[in-house]
Amino acid sequence: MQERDLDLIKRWQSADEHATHVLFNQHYPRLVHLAMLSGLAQDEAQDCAQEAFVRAFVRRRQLRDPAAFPLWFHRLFMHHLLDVLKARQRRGQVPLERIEEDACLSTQPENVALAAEWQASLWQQVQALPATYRIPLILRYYEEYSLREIAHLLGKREGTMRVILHRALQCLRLQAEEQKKQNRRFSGPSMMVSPASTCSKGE
Amino acid sequence: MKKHELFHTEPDDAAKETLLRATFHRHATSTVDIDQGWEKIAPQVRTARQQTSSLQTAPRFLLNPFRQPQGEKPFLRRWHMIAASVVLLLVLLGTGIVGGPLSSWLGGNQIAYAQVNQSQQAYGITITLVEAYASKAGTFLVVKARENGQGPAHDVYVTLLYATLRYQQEYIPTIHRKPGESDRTSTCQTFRAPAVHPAADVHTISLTWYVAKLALSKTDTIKSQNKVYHLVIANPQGDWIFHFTIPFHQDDSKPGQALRC
Repeated sequence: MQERDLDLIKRWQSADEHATHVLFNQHYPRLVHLAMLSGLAQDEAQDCAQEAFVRAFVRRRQLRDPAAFPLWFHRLFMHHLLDVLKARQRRGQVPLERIEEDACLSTQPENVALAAEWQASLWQQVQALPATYRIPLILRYYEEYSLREIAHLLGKREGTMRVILHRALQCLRLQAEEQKKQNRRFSGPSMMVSPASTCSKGE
Repeated sequence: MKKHELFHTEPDDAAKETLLRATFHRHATSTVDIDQGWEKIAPQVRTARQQTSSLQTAPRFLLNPFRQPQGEKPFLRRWHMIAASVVLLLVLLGTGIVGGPLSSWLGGNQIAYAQVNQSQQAYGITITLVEAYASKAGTFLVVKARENGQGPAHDVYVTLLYATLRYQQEYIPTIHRKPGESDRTSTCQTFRAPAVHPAADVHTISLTWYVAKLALSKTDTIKSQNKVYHLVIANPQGDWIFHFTIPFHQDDSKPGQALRC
């Protein structure tokens, strides 16, 4: 971490408003995207990111090493995000974005439409995973965190994270196979059926 | 590759991972309104900051040491704690650990000053820290800020809006204002910050000055009416940073004599 970044974080810990604003500008968009990928609607994701930032500010004195700020802050955010997802699951809410399909597929060239269809199918499969599988996948393949960093963020051991990621990929594989079987029962390869979640463990 | 056969066999992990990454990045492209987010949390941040500072400035045990504590703690034990704290304070004062920084301005060192002459450039603007001066009255910085290539009589002038001074681990705000709040000037400006408190055996004061935001202002005359336009600039690569050291002097020069532009 560069010296100016360390100074910025130290000023943030001293409750410097400008430093707080700069840090917010740096981290807020990525946190919102992370929350949306985890299954929240955009307004919920924004609320989640804002609440996490305020909590981090209130607890800023707990950070002893300014160089550890990125992981410390992301860990705080991930815990809050998991709480929000669990609370929403208890209430039985499902965001509208999860059941939308891409309406532009029919107007695109076949190969582009096919790739987009794969991604749309995979997106639905990922969103159908439980949060304890979905979030490590996002941290690994969107944030590009290492296994060790993901384990630290989620408060688990590295070996446990390795197993969770393996099971998450296995779930996606099983869902893809099940979807393939279901599609074969109906006529035409272009029909897509929303996959039922075959991996419900892990909440 | 056939559709939906991506996860049919396990060895093809690289393709799975590529597709996962592409899927995630495709769904993370929505625009996020940062300003709206900041407007929502800024009041909460300010409230949290005020609550922290009020706790720091009014520690409970000093508010009313004679108050009978609620609960079972005997009154006599509280007096023992107060007496022990006073004794400890006297010991620390004697060794100079506490109160050391205060003795710097009380002792022989009266003034610290130096001609700094450091310049930083960005966005066609040059900020020059000309001189710095520190005493028990405060810390003074003489600054020039100008658009590159323009003389002092040019109608575009630069105003510093937000700057912070750092001494050791302490951050001291020096400038916090909005465009248009200051007098128009293209020559030197002097900014005053609260005094720093170096230890008695220190011969120089090392300071860092951060300029976070400034404004370019221009007056236009339209239909015989003067209007001032402000462009606020924050350096996206980080603040304009000045590291400098000012030595102590034993003479008793007056502040104005040391400051020239």
